[in-house]
Amino acid sequence: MREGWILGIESTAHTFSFGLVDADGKPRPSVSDTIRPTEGGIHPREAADHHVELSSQLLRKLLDDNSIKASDLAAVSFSQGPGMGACLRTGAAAARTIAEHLDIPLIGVNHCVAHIEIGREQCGCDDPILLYVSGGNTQVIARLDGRYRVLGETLDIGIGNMLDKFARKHGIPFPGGPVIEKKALEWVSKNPNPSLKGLELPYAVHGMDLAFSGLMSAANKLVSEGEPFEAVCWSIQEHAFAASIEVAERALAHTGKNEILLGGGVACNQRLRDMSEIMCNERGASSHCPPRMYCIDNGTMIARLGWLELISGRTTSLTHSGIDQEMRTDQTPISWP
Amino acid sequence: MEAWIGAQRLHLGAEAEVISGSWFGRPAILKKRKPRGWRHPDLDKHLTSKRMTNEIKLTIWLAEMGAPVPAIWDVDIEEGTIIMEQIDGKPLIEVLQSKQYDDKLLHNVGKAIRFFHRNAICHGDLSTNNILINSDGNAILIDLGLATREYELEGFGIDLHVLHEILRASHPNIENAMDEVLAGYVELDEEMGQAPEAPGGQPPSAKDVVKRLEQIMRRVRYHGG
Repeated sequence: MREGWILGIESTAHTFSFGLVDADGKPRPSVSDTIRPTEGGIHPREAADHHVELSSQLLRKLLDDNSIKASDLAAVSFSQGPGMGACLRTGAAAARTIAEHLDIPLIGVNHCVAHIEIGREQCGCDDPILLYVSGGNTQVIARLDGRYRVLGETLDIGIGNMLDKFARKHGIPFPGGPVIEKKALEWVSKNPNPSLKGLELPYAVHGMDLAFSGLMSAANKLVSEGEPFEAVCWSIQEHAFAASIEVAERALAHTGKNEILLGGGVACNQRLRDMSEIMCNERGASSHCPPRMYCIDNGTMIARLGWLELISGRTTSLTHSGIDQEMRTDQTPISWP
Repeated sequence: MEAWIGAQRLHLGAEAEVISGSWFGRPAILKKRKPRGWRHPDLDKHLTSKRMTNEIKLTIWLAEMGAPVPAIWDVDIEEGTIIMEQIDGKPLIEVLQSKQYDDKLLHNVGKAIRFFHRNAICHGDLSTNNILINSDGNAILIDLGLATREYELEGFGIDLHVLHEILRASHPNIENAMDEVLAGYVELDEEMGQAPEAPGGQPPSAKDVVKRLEQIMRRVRYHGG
């Protein structure tokens, strides 16, 4: 095996991203681009076209930014799943091409596990419960018996998807989450200590599972009944984040662990981070959240997980490099500490 | 004589702190729901009082129906405390980890869940911490804060799905654990016949609930199978 850099390629959904870790697994910032549809949601085919078009220029920029040549790469890893098929295929195709061309190992990795591992690397936490909150995923994950296992998840849509859909209905383009956060802050600054009276929404916690579509419908109804948009944005956050944090706390109580790690795009939200911090303080646990660039989808996390797999002696043959849209978090054996 | 004498904290749950002790000399536990600082106070108050009232009302209803639930001895809604009978039993999570149990164990768990469902109650939080196993190997479901009255298939299916996910995640080495639970779940209907009429109607049959669970498993995002 050649000593050198590991390239990571992320393409599960709207973001195409290349990232690097060095021979010691130390991350370098990713070079990414995200498709932002002018209207409607993400169409997998359009996202895939976007990824293919930008592929070579993003990779070029990553190599230039780090002053390295393609021949300095020791291995290439890519998101093998879960995600949108058309998008995953673009990343996988790029990875196979690079691996074949440079004659270096190829490593297919699980996107969700990559979120956990970059979070552990960035935050220095040891054995956390991951609250993974993104557009497509909302899961509570713990390492148990040599795998990352899903203790609870959304029964309908991902929390980020709920935020984006609500925003879209009210004329805010993708990604809607950050705008909802801004509107919520405006409501709080205009109304210090706001009351939830008249702004109540469903709070769907089933053990460690969650649901968000009822909350979204009820929030749309509040807006159509004339409640201020900012107020509804604030109420959505208060309800949806509280439910997520409660489920994370249930996972702490169930497993006896004492660290929370946040990951996924919605983990960029300061209110969610604050709630996690308070919850952990109240029960003597600690809350961790990687920098925003490593919460959202990024190639660096794929490189980091590829590096962990590589030092554990696992690579992916060309015949086994097919994508898996429904790849499960507990499919990956975890052989590193 | 002092009514309540606390001894030690048994568990710091997400819902409440559970303390063992005695009430008028009898072994008891005190369940205290503390305000959660991370939740908006309006939401927190609403959830706490709703969950406490649920727990009390439904525990009493289930006791009347003959379920082995703890007796409730004292309640203070303002303080968020409930004092109840201490049930003799070990959490299922510990029994499964100890690997010392007979093959009827998970059947009995399924039966205990079905007994709730037959009486139109969803437990709402079926983790392996909330199922106690007594010295006879029977299962007792505790912690009814998230319990609801239910008549729709979906609610019962989700109730089972929560346990399915936890068994798979926390006890992956026990093969077919959920199948065992479901076998007991269906068995109870075979033993007792159709579910009795509950106040809001007829709860669905065990077989129909199991079919719905299978649909839910296929539907959830990436972890169906």
